[in-house]
Amino acid sequence: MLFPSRIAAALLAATGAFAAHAAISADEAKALGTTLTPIGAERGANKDGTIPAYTGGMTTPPAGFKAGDGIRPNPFAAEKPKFSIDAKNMAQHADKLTEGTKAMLQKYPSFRVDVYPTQRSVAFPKFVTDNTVKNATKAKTNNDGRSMEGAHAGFPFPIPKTGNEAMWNHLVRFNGAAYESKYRNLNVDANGRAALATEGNSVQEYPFWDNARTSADTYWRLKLSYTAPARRAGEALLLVDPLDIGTKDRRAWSYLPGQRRVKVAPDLSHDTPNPGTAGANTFDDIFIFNGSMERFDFKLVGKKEMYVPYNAYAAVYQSKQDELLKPSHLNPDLVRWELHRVWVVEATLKADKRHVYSKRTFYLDEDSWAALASDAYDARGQLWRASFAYMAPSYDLPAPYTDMFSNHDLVSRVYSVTGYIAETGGMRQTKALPEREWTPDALAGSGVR
Amino acid sequence: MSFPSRPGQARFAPRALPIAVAAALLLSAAGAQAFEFDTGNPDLSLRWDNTIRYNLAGRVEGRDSKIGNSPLSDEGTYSFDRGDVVANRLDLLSEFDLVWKKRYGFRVSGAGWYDDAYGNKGARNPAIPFPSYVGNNYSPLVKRLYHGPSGEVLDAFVFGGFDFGNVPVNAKAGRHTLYWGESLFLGGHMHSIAYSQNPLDLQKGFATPGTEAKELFRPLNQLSAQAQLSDTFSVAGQYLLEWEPARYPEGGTYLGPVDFVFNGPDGQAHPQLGFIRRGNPSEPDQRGEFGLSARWAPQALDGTVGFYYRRYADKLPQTFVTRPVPGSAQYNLIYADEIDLLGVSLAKNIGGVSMGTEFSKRINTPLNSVALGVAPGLPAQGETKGPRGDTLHALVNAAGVVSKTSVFDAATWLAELQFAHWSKVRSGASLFQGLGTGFAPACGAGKTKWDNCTTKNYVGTSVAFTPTWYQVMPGVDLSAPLTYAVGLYGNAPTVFGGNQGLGNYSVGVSADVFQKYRLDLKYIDFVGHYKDNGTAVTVANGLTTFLKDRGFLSLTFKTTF
Repeated sequence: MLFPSRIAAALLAATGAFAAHAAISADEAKALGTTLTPIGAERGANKDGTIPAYTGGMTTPPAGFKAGDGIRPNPFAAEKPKFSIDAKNMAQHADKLTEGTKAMLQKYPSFRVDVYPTQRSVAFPKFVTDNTVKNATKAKTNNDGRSMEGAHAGFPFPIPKTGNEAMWNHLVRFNGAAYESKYRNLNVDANGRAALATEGNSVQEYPFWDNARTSADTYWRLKLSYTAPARRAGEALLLVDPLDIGTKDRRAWSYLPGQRRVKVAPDLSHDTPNPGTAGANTFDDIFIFNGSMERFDFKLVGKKEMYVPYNAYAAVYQSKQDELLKPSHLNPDLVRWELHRVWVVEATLKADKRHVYSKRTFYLDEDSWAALASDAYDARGQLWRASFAYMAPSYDLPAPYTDMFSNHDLVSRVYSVTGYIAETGGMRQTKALPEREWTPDALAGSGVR
Repeated sequence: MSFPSRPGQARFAPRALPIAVAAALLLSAAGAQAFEFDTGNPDLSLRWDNTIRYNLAGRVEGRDSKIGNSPLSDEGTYSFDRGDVVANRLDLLSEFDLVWKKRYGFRVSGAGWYDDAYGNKGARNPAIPFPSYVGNNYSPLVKRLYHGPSGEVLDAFVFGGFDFGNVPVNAKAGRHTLYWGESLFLGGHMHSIAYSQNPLDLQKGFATPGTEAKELFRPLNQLSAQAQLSDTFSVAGQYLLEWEPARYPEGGTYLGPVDFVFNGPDGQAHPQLGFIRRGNPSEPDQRGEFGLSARWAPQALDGTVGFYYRRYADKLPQTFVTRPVPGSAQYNLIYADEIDLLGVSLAKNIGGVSMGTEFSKRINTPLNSVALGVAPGLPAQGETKGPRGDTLHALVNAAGVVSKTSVFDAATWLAELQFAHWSKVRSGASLFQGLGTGFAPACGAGKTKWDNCTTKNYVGTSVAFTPTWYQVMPGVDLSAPLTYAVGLYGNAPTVFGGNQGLGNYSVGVSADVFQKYRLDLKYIDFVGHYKDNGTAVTVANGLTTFLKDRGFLSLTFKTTF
């Protein structure tokens, strides 16, 4: 049972046994906006000149984007790959490829990494960068890094000192404060046949990024209403993650068609297989990582230059499902990879915890803090799943956007794509819903089926 | 398994096959995608979904002669022999929704069915006179519900959302279901705040134990509304414009536990009265049931507490001989109304497990009565000459998930404990099937709970466990749903509330193909205790005890498009 241990943890916290992690000094924070970008990325170019200096990102939509439209045209459509990496030449790029990418190159002859010129396109509204600088000296984690406080509407840890701090930047990553989309989750089986796992309307809010408030207890919440497969049409899900997730934990409810009532959902977190992908990934595989960090020790390894999916507009917004989903992997012609500096965070399963993964490596984009890739290892330490998120910034906001991601099971050769929106109208920024629409009973009241 | 042929009964090869082929054709004609119309208008959403289910089931267990030799229960067990096809059924569920601006719209759903395992005639033990169906001919109702082809409208309602000030209100008018409280299983439903909130589809519930609650409720015409008064407090209400009894496993069909119930049979052979004819049921007013609920989820509680008041009419009957005159005897199903229910519920996530609990009190509820007890003359509408009184009911349940282990990839589990207690008999004590003195003589001196007599307290349980293995072959997920429900202690005071040792179980495997086609193979059986005189059952501790020789294997194919 988790319950007694949580009480114990609360008691220990109260007696100060868990030291809260302190923020950085004002002196150290001076780097923000000078040598570092305001959110903590290295401003300068790399030594080889393959990563350019950050110049503020892309803040004007390309011609062809209609204001308010959910589909974002590819501003880099005219660019050609600089080179391709495949099984034959991967050795010369090995230090810049995730373990998962390398394994896929070796395993799937049809897989390929097309590397394009690096475009540091991610940009933020001014309040985000302003607040990040303010948060830098105030934000701290507690509960052994599992909870966070002292930050609002800006990244909490632009200069992270621990793995947990870096992961908090990812957990609260900025996609806009409220947005909705109609999305599809697709599973591709070992024979290469794609099946629709779920389709639904999603409403996501990050009260953490609501600059009209001064603080928020909840950093992220999600409402899903399934529209497919038809047998699941009418089901709905409400999920709430508090900033103090270390003690309060995630809360979730499901709406049951035919009964028109809402039941508390059991543990929709950690390594519970995700019914939204028919079990092809775990709940904490969503967005590469999400939810509570309680089962792993997170170590900040440092920064590396890596090839990651980036400015992947063609896959996220312009693709056709049948062209994108190839056996074993996405169509390499449609996935743009770039060289970016990423923070590497290594998570090791705690001795007293259980999880299907024994170790995970996360790769966090320096310009957005979004996790762009991960390697997950099974109990025997064998590489099991490779995951990628497909960065396609919303230049109209501006904000990063990485809600489409894929999880590749290297053992079963199955993979799943979550958050595919190209054929269902894309993603629209919206106004936040009133607080009372985020209650389980409101979910029950608004049900049709 | 094999289905040996038997004259006059369905055999697998010649008759099941055409239906299976017809189902396959319908499916292939239906195309691949769910039908969500592209209206070209983002404010307007239209969808039309159709679910086809084909069910082939065969009797595995042989006839228990003691059940077959009882005039109360011979026809059910004689309806099919071991090896016979007991269901060769095609069901269609069609659902249409129109939603405007996510707040207004209407919904209509309907069902159709045809079962080739049933014909026009029932069967009986030839040694027993007076079949429940005159000439063994099934009544029109049984022919319609069991054989078909037939159909019906289920949901048919309009809905809308309105803001009163900043309070969002959602309202529905028309035929729909509402389900309050926290119960999970059929056994829990019988002791829940939602008891008799909707008529149950027990015909379906018996054919597929472990059926989710959502498939068991039949809609009623009503007005309902819910208002979110603050971000922690909401209220809801309903006013019923229609009353319907439960839909039953009818007597003389495969899963009809006793021959004279419910709305199908023409009558019943009786040792003293000869043939008793079934008269029209005494039904309550169509209108006037209502319910109110308030749900409160304060942050400090980290859960939701609910308060409920309902005034309802029972959807399950008492059954009395109202004309005890040999030669023209008659019995009726009698439904009482004006039952008050007060309830409180709590839902909470505890350590990753979804916990639900309920406590409710029923005032002036019908109590277990002597089946076919003598109560001359029909009561006034909504009343009963049978026992009524006050009862307490409680349940606690938990639902959880298990991550990958060395045995399975994932598993879900559900468990529920149910409790009932009778505190007071207000009227009709002489027909109360209660253990003790002053009640029905059948439960007087020398009788025990094994004589189907109600005890002061009852405890029952239902559990379900479903391990899953993903991608056992490309595109196929396999699971093994197991369900078990049983009365643990005592006999409940309310109709179908449960008896000690009475229950059912199912063991099966289920394949989910491409997230679209579902194939279920299940073995289903019932358990219970009876007493006998060496040749025939004399007392069964609970109605479904008579189904304990009905073990069957059921294959279901289902898809929605």
